[in-house]
Amino acid sequence: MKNYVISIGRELGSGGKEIAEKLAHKLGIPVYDKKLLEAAAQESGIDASAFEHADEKESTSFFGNILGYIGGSNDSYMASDRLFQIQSEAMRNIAGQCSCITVGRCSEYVLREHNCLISIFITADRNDRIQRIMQKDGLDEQAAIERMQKGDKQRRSYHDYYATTEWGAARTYDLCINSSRLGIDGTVDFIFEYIKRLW
Amino acid sequence: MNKSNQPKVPTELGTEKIGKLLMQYAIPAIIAQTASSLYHMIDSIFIGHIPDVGAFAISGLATTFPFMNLSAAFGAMVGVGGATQLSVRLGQRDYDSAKTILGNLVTLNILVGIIFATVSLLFLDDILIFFGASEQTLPFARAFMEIILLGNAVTHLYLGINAALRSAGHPKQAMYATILTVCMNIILAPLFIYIFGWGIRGAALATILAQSITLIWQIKLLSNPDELLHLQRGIYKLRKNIVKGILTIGMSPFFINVAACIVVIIVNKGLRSYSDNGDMSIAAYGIANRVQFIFVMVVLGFTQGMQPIVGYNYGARLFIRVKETLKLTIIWGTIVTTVGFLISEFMPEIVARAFTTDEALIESSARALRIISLVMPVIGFQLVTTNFFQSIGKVNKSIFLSLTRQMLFLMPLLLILPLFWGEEGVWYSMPISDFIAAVLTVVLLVQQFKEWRKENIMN
Repeated sequence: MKNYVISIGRELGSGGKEIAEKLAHKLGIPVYDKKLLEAAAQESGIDASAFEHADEKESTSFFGNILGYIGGSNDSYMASDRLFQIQSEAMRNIAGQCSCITVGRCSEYVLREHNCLISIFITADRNDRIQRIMQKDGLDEQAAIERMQKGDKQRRSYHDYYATTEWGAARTYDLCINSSRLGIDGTVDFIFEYIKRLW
Repeated sequence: MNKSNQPKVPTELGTEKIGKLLMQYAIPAIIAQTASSLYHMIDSIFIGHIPDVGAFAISGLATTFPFMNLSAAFGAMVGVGGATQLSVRLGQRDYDSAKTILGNLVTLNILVGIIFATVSLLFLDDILIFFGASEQTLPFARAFMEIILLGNAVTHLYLGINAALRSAGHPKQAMYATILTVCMNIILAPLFIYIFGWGIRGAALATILAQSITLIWQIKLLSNPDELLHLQRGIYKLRKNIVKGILTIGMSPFFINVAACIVVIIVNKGLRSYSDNGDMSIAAYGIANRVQFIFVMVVLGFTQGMQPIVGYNYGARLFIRVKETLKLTIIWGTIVTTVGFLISEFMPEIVARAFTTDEALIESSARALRIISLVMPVIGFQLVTTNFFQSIGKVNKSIFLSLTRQMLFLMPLLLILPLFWGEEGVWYSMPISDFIAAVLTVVLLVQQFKEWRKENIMN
């Protein structure tokens, strides 16, 4: 079987990360979530903290734009656009070398020309998401709701700025799943079956 | 998958000698920056030498500056927004999307150019009077603006396509386009103004004609189907999501330009109400401002060259190199503005004489130049440091510093000082604002270094 890539987009608290990890374990391939940032750092020589700083955040703040203008142009390697480009390059290199699962960071768009790509978006019921965020981050319900809303907003804005498709919309992905229906393990099995039927 | 055809991060940024790198990156930027400001300066010089009417013509021209700012605001809105989107798409090698953005950029530029021109032409006299024109200077301002506005769509398209060329990986061609326009203007302007006797209209016509010729060359460049990004059918129809994206990103450069326009209006209005000879003072401001601007543009060229070097080394945590680059760029910036300072303080008459033959105007321009350049050496430091914050990703500090010099301090000073010192108050507002901004910049820079020392980086 040739190189394949599974791109997983996810809502905050949907269990997407856990699903990616379990699926990777089952398939025996690596997961690139935050690890992608380290790879990008290693390839470019720029410190990982710079990538982390710009990671999955809104890139088009009002002030950020003013800045790009005042200096004539923002050619700095600390500029989010530049960092995203370096990171995308690293992602394409990894996907060209071995089968893997990528999580977030517009991977379904960045890797759109990969000839063996499956893109999946994971969502979950509101209450399940809140519960998961409360547990994972040790927050009360109110704070978890706020984090969830902020997370959605940031990821949407990040995705829709860098990709030409719409975050979380069915037409952007091959498969969209609500993890509340089958549970985490059930969802992993379901995706596994789906992949087996394809290849 | 595609082979990588985008240039990798050049690792020389982390190893090559700083002095050599800075020159390598700064020189093209300096050429591009000064070329466009030379352009306006040349217009001023030619117009100032129209026999008999020079001083009024220059004053009329100065009242069109806010107009140019406003037009540039709309141009920047479309141009910066489009170029940013374009470079993101090209970075992802998404050429289909990039082409559509290019097409939409062309359409939007033409649309905005025509709408702006139409509205402005309808209310031209009222707007110019609001900007500071008088009965004597209005005819010149109107004659100039009518032609400029008729060619407004060309101007917007020329600037927009140049921004697109730059983000499409053709910075050299973009630079040649700028230089070509300046050179043609130098040839055409005197021909039209003096030999054909078209006066101030001739200057405007030379500008538009030079831009039109360059535009044809630019379009020819971008029509080459061998280029990955080229003009073709079917890309010009406006797409809602692209237009929305362009305008969202373009909103801030728009407001920055509008603010610059407001500052010039306040200056012109202040000079009109407090000066014994408003027209003369406004003309003097026009000349002094253009002279100072040239030096500022050279410094901005240096800062643009500094950006990739500081950005890369900061990212790679090579802090000694970051510090060295900052130091070297501050030294260069300060040298440039100090030269400007010396010229402005010790031979302002000679400079003013280049712009006009009117003895009274030479005298008042020289006085204006002497005052507004009083603290000029620190402007170099201020500009470099502001840009330094941008290069290391400290966005908010950079914005704040750059707003202080040109607006936050300047606007209130311009409104308050003249109440006590009349016309002098208007002139002195500028160096005072520059000085306060420089002090604030020192404070923020020292604070930043303290922070780094605490984290044990950059000793």
